[in-house]
Amino acid sequence: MLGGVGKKQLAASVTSEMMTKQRRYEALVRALHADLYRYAFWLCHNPTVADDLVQETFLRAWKSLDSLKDEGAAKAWLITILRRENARRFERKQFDLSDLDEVQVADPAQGDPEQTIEQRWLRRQIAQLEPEYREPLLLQILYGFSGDEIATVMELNRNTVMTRLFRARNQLREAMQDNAKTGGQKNG
Amino acid sequence: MDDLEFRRRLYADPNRQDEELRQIAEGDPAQNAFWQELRALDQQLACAIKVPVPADLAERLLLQQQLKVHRSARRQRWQLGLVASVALLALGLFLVSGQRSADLGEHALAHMAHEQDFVAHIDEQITLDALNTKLAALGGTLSDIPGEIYYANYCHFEGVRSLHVVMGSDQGRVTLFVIPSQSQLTLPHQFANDSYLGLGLDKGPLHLALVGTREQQLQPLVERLRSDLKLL
Repeated sequence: MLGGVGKKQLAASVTSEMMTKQRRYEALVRALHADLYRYAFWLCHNPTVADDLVQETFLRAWKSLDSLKDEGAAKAWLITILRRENARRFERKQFDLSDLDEVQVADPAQGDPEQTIEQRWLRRQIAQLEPEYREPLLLQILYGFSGDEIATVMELNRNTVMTRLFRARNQLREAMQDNAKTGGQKNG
Repeated sequence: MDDLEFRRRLYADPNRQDEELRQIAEGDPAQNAFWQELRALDQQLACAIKVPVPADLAERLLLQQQLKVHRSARRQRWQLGLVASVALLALGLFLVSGQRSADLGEHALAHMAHEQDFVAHIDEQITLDALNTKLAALGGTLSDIPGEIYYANYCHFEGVRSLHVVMGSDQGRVTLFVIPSQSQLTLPHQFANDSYLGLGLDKGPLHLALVGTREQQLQPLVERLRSDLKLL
């Protein structure tokens, strides 16, 4: 007698777990897909590849959503999955298509034209940073991660992270100063 | 803190809340200007990093996941169907071997046991018309049903093509088997095991077996079926 009730309740709770999982997933997608796409874009410099990477990442996230115990850790968790997917992409020896022009076409001209040119120039500088400098910078600026959080995601020690952040900004600032000296001739 | 360390810390994180740095900046306009310059750079970077995101990306991600769930549910259903078929075949062989005789009530319970996981979630939103189309092949029609119809498909009872219906009612999900009386097997008025209780009703050439948990009040539902099921 009790067995029947137990099974029924179990079935009902399995269904409600599915619903909860579905809602969690949807909340994650809506809240985090945009920045994850941007992160992916800066890893691979290609909108199509970035799109694929984000899709792969979220599919894997769905499969192992039960392992995410704390929603507060969701950003770092997704980034870790994304980085792994990106590494797999290299293992598969896919082409590392660098296509900055494409994103510039896709970028809506916001604000005055001067700012757009400036932004385009800056994007080029970010793209030219060494990946090992660019990634901690993205994690800090895009995600607001602390040095320790970046160290965890990148599996580095904190001092290395801080050094790379220092070098990243240093390079960008020097590029800006050079650009200002030459009167922005190198724009575009 | 020397000048180099000051700059090193700010380069690493211009937005840090660092009392020591703040005091130095307050006392030295040049250092303060440097700090503000780095903050401005960070703001520019924050804008530049935000490349446009495809407008439909979120919807595509959700759709992709739903398709995946749907596909795996279908696969699971197929597997469960196979498991149920094999189990019934085994039961059939067991019966043929003559070690034990079983009635349709036991067949119905066997169906329940093997398909319970699957029918607990399923909702194929069957209309009464669609149910009646299938039921017509067995010679019956229902004028009304007690609730939603989640599932309606043919199954086999001792080689006799029958109909397996999962429906909602004020008692929750219940299962109805409609079995044409073509075999030697009879349907008792009541049958049960540890998990389920079933009530049997014979209506002309059709056996109706209504199965639910032992807590569900099935008798009123059987009475409704008795009046709502018409023979064609």
